[in-house]
Amino acid sequence: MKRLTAISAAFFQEWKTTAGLANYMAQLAGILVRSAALAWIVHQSGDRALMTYVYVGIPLISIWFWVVFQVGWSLSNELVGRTLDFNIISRTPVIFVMLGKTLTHVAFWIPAGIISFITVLLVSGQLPEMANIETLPLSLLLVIAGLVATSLFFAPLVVLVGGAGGFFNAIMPIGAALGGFILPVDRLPFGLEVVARCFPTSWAMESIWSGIEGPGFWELAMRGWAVSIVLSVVWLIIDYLMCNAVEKRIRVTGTLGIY
Amino acid sequence: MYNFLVQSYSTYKGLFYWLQWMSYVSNVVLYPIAYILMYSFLGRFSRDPEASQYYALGIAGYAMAFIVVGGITQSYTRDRQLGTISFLFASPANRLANYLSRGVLHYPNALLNFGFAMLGAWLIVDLNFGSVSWTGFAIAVLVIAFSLMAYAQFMGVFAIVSRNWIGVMSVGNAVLFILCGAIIPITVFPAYIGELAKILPMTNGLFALREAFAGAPLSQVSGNILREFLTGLGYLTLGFLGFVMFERVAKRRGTLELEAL
Repeated sequence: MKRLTAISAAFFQEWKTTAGLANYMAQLAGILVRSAALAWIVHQSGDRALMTYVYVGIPLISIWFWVVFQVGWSLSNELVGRTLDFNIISRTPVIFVMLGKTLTHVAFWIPAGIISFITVLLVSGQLPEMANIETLPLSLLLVIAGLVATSLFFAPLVVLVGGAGGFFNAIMPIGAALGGFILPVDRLPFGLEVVARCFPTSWAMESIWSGIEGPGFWELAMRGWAVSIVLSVVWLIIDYLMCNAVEKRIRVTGTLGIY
Repeated sequence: MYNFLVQSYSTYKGLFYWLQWMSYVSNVVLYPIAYILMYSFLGRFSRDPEASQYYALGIAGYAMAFIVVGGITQSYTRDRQLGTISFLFASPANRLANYLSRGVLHYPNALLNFGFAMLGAWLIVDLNFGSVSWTGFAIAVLVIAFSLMAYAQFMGVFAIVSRNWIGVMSVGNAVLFILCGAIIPITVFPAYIGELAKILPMTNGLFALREAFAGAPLSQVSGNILREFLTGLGYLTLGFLGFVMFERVAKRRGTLELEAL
């Protein structure tokens, strides 16, 4: 219960300090053009199944881009802003605070995902078609859960390696490609597919793909859901260990003020 | 000349925060390859290899815009935020030389980004360089990089009055990405938007780049290359006028430390 209190407190604290309207509008410009460009590319194909897959993936790309960026810098910002001091004083593990912050950014950028989806509809002029739409809600939920688990990884990583400005500019598109948001990962080159299979979002997106295609979808969808849940738990364990490493570095070595 | 080089080096080293090796590798090496993976790969699977070639060249051009606009706009914002621009304004230093020096060391980054994008396209989507007219291709790349640097200098005037250069960079790059034909051909847009697109950097250069890639000789692409160069000169001029105007307004109002945006 106390952990839930910590998570909710971190959620509201991060919400209040997240960037204002002007910055949000500026970031939306990038989101809109990227969504329009990707929708344009796939719209030329005429492949309805692929179009539906990418149209679902484009809003998730928009959410991923800014969640991983904001979450990745959140712990580092706390360190620089001297608010991590109070975090370290409390008995609440850093992971729970970071989880609250991650949920903030997911909630903050979901409207951008919706706007991105509207852009896709305007560019393509048609609605996505899914043979088995009943798989979509759970698949999307698992995509978001996987997105939370993987983006949370970068917060302690930035602190541990001393990440500098521009650190995430390659991670954002790489994550979008390997996360299965652009193409089903079985269409990637073999080497990239192996890496992509380590991300829970790629399996959840595979469930969406099986729901789009039709016959035999339940088996594939359930396999995707199961693996996605397992991988999300694995990533959360890694995130927990990474956050512990940050706390240990600070508590044991006394390096709160420096990397 | 020595002063010019010192100013180039000091603005680059002191105000470009992506120089740390992790950030530099992320932005110059990995970023263009990742974008090729995102767009060209999708293009190959959704259409055909020729489409992925079209997108690959567009993304390579956009990668140049990303690193140059990002690098120069953050330099302008930090110059004011960190208080270093006040030393320039208090000095009799040549403003034109200072203005021009700011983009010099960012120019090679644009070429590097283009190079890594082409490498990524060759590795990931098997981009075929067999019919490239190399003279026209190389000149087109150099001129596009120049006009993007000039555009970045122009955007720098907006960044210098902004609290957050990322917003300026996002809007500036978004305009280029959607209107310059990087992904969506400008023929798709209404005629008046197509004409507006031609006064943006990279539009004419991409025409020349794609024609040279398909084997067109230099004589055939020189018109578009010249238009691209003149576009760059125009943005460079506008940017300088804005830079000088900013100094005058800031001195008259005493608002150098305040953000307007």
